[in-house]
Amino acid sequence: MNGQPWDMPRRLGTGWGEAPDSFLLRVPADAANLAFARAVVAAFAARLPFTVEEIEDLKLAVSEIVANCIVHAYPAGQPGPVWVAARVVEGALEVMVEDRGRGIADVDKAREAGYSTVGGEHLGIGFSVAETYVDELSVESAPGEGTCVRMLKRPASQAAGPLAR
Amino acid sequence: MLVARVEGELDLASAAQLRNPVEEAWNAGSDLRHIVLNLKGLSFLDSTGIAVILGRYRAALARGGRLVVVDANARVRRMLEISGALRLVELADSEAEALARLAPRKQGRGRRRRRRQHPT
Repeated sequence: MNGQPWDMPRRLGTGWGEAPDSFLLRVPADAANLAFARAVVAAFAARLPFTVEEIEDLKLAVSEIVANCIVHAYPAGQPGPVWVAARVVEGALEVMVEDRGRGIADVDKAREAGYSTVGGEHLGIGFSVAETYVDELSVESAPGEGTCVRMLKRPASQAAGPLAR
Repeated sequence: MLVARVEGELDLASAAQLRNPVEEAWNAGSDLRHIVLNLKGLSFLDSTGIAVILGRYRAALARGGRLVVVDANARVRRMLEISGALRLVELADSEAEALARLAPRKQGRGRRRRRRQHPT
């Protein structure tokens, strides 16, 4: 977008897809890629001791955030890139979703349940739903500079200690 | 009433595949009042899917009808709860239960219409 190289995320930082136990994926912000993006994260998450339910939680959170990129980040009909990256950090899964779209003017407002900038059948609960299904969620964004969402999910079995398994 | 059976993943990519045929059947049947959504075959539901369900709730409400969600599993119920949709839609364990609940009480006036989406 805006004449900048298409293949470089701004906020993500380096090392994704290079460091062991990490991956980096780039897809166009198109609904056709939504199921693919969450399936990739789910497949990657299988290397941690997540339960089937926890993997479903992750799929849902990723789906909400990537859907946000698809609906909000780019002008209609001109989908730009979405990067999805993940890595294992101290036994937990860290997932990043970044776009190079229009950005969010008021992140706090955007995270409120029921707030949406688009009409139609959008509820504006994507962020709050995603937040419910992961342990941590943070949003970095500025108008015109894209959005990066970081999520962290810990396997509950790990929190209970190794003897729990 | 209109009965729709939903299968597979309901998200931003597939929302129109449920919304459009249900809307079409709803608009074609001006005497339809209630909507039953059978979610037995639903394997994934996100907030876009919830929005589609609530859109059908509003359609039913506008005709003085109700929306009944059938066979929602624990994950689906949790999403309905988190989104606030559970305060608006009704749950039923089976289509038979939903139909019995929505059927007119008076004998002889029981006009019932069934439309099925996504036939199994």
